[in-house]
Amino acid sequence: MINFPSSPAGIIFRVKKTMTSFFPAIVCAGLGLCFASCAFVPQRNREFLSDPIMQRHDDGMEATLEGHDFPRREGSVGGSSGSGGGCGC
Amino acid sequence: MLRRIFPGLLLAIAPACLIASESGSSLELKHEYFWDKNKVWNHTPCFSLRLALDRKWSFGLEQELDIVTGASRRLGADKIGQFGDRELDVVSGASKIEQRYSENPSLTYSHAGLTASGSVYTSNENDYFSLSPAGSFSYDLFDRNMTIGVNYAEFYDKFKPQGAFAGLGGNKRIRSTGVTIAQSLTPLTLVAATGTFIKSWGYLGHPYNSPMTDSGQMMEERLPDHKTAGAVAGQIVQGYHLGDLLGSLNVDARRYQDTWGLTSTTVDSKLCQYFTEGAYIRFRYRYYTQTGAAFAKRDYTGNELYKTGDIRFFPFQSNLFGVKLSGPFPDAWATSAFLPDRWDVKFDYMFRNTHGDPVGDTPGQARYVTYQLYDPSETYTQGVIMVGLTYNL
Repeated sequence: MINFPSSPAGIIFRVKKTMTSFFPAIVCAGLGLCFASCAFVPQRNREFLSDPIMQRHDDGMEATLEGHDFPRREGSVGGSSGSGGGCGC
Repeated sequence: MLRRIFPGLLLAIAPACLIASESGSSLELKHEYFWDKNKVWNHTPCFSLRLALDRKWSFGLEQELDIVTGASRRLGADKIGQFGDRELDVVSGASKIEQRYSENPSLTYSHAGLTASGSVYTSNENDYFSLSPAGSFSYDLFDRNMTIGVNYAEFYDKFKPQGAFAGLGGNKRIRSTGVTIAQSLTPLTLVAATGTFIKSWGYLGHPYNSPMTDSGQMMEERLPDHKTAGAVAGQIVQGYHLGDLLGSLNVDARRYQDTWGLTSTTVDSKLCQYFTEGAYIRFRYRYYTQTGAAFAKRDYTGNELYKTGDIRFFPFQSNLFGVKLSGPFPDAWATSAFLPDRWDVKFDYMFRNTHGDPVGDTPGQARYVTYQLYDPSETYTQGVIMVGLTYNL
């Protein structure tokens, strides 16, 4: 059972603990990308990277809709980047 | 509501063809229909307008209209029907059919690898209002092989429950900060990592979801008034060729953790494949799992400091399967400003391992009245159909 912080010091401790647990993943991801930056794809070879199905979201509007609607429909916390903006419920 | 929306819609769209002085302007129209096992349904017509003002500046406008039942799923939103009554729920006071309207105008500057954008999002429904200014900034490095971006948003939300729960609710603030790094590794490989930090405080509850004692009596929900959350995500987009046709596999994994003791993991994968020039099919599978909040219990004695009956704070897993088709209309249509350039249609089906209501000791009496209005031997399911048209202006 978690003891909920009732003071600013408790909140800060909790934040630090939360971020500490994420820290290894953040560092690994950062280092991986730094090394990866050695890779170089010249402009003339970027034809496929600019295709819609090679984007991070192939449908931007669909991603926006899901960010608003999906968490409340699924009843989930943290499953998408949506963090506020009305529940529609 | 509709009278307020349509004039704005027409004013925004009608001059779009005239104002669009640069290529890159577009208008997307979509309509989404959602339904679930509790007979809740949701129609969402929406549009997204992108208007290139010149070579550096663009204006964006997104609008959504939600028409939804299930405002009080727990206490009788069942069997309302597609065009059922619009009375308030006699117990909870929530509306059975509710409208939510949101819009998000934005202004974007983009030049020489630098992109900066600002927006103001508002959302209105009968018991909830949200206002959110947001900004983002990104910069391309190493001849556009790497992009670093940051985004920031503040939400000023107000929950004002109606009917029996009037007087509960209150103001909620959410502050969200995110950092993203995207890197192209090969002509067919893109990777990205995202970190998000979210701080919430104020009224974070939902009074319609009262917790229960073990004898079935309702209590007032009580939650902590602050929450801090962090999420990290990694994504890879790997392209390939099937003959001459391009395909891609997109895998996105996300891990979330907050100070209420809730952690969640999401793996979202999409396989896209062109089957003709410009037309592709997309298959999707998404897995989601979360633990419960530390204080979430099925029954309460009444002496606990924090109490909730909100299913969002209980553990579960869900699986989503989806298919989408997207393609171009004939080239000849491009000569007319009134005919669309592309179409898309998708279907998503999700099931969540949350069972229906168990029946209590007394015949016919539900011991635990939860959201689920179906048999305890069944799990929760839902579906989404979405159709869309895109105009290149």
